[in-house]
Amino acid sequence: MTTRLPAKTGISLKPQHYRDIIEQQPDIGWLEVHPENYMGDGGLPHYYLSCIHQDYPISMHGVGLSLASSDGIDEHHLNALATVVKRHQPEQVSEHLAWSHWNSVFLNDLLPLPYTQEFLAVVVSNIHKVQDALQRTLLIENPSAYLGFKHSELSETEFLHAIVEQTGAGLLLDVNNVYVSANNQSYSAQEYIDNYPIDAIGEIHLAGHAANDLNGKTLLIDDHGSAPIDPVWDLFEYTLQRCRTAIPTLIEWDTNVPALNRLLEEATTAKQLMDKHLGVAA
Amino acid sequence: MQAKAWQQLFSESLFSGLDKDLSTTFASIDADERQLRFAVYQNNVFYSLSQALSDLYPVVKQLVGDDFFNGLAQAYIRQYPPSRAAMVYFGEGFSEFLANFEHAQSLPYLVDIAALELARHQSYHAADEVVLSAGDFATIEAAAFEQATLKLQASFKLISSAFPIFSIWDSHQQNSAATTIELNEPQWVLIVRHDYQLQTFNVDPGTYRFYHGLDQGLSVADAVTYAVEACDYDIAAAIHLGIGNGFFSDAGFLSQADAD
Repeated sequence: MTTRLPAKTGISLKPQHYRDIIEQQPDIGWLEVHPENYMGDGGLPHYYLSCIHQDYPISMHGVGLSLASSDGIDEHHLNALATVVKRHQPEQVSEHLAWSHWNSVFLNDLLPLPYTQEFLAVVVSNIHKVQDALQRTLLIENPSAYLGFKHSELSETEFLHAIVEQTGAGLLLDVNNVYVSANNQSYSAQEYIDNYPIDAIGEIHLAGHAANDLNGKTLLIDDHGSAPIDPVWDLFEYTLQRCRTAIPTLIEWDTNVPALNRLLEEATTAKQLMDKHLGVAA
Repeated sequence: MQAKAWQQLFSESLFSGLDKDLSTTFASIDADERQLRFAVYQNNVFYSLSQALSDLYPVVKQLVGDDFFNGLAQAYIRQYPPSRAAMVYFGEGFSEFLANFEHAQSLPYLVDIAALELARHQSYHAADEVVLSAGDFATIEAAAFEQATLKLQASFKLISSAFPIFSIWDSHQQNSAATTIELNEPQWVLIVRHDYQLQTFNVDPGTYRFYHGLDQGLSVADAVTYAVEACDYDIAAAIHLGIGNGFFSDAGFLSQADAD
C-alpha cells in the first residue's frame, strides 16, 4: 500500500503539545490528528495545525464517518470532512471499521458490527462513497471489540480482505486493538496477524489499554491512556517480521496525555524495533 | 437479524438498556457477561459525551459540583444527543436545557453562565477574519466615521444578564482577584477573539447597547443615539475599546474609499 506518510514513527498531536512541537521541533516523522477536532470554522486549532504541517506530514484519523452505518454515510459529516481535508491537505486519511451514526444521532463511540455479507456490502458502499467524495484512498482500521456476534459469517481478517479487494482501500493495522480483541474474544493474536492482508498495510498504530474485571476474566478496554505494554510490543515485532518493510507507525495517546517527551520516548522504542527487524537507517 | 433492525436495536439499547433480542445475537453464552460487555459501549458513549460537555462548561460544573453536573449531563445527552460527529457543535442547547431543568432552579444565574461559556467557545472557534486596526481609522474624517457601518467580526459576541455573570465566571478563572459578588447586580459582557486571544470584557450598559446597535446594522451615529437613549456612557471610550481590540472586520467608509 503506498502512502504519502514517511515510513517513520509518528505521535498523536494533542493541543497541550502545540507550542512544545513548534518550539522544540522534535525529531519525529509525522503527526496524527482527528479531523473532527478541526471542524470549527477557524481559530487556534487551525492556526497551530497549519504551522505544524509546514514542518511535519499529517495523518488525519477520523472517528466520525461511521463506515458501517447501514443507513449510509451522513452527508453533513462527509462535507465537513471534505472541507477539512481540502483546507489542510493531510498526507493520509484513515477511518475505523465501526459505526457511530444512527437515525441522525451521533453516538460518539466506535460501535461494533457483525461480519456478515450484508454488512460487508454496507461498508464497501460507504467506503466507495467517501473515496469518491475525497478523491483519495482511505486506510481502514481494525476495531477493538468487546463483543462478538453469533451471526457473523466471516472472520475479521476475511472481512478486511474483502474490503481491500472490493474498494481498493488500504489498511491501518492497530496492533493494540488486535491484542485487545484477541484477549476479549479468546483467539490468537499471532494467528490474526498471520491471516491479516499484510500487503495492504499503510499505517500501524500502537497504544495502551486498560483492564476490567469480567466475572473473574479480564476484559481489556482500548482507552489510549497509557504506554503500550510488552505483549503489544511483542506483537508489533511479530508484525514487522511479516511486513519485511518499514511502515509509518504511530504512538497513540489520547487520554491522560503525558508530557511530549514521554510520547517521543515511546516513538523511539518503536523506531528501535523497526531498525532491529528491518535494518532501516533512518 | 437484518442490519438495519439490528443497528436500531443496538442504538436504542445504548440509551434504554440491553434489549433481549439484541442480547441473543451476542457471542457470549452467559447473560451477565453479555450485559457487562455491552455496558462498555454504553459507558463509552455517556462518558465521552459528558466529558465533552464538561470541557465546554467548566464554570457551570464548578458551580454545581461534579455529581450534580454528571446528572445534568446524563439528562442532557438523553434529551439532546449530538447529531454531528464534530464535538465542537455538541452542547449548544445546554443553557436552554438548564432553564427548563427543575432541579437547577435554585441557581438562577446558571443559565446565563452557560450562555457565557458557550459564547466564549463559539468565539474561540469562529471563522478567521482580517480585522481593522487603529491605523485604518487614523485618517477618517469625523463626519464619514459617524455615517459608517462598522461590521463586527465573526468571533464577536454580546451577552447580558440580570446577574453578575462576568464576576461569577471570572471568580472561577486562574489569577482571579476574588471580590465580593452582589448577586442582584446585572452585568453586560462582550467577547472577541483578537490575535488568537479570547477576550472577555465586563462593560457598562451604554457600551453594551452601542455594540448591540452596531451588531443590528446601525451606523455609528445611530448606535450612539440608540445607546444614549438608555443611559449615559463614555462614547469615545466605547469606540476605542472596539478599535483597540479588533472588534471590526469592515467599515463602510473604507470600502467606499477603495471604490474611489
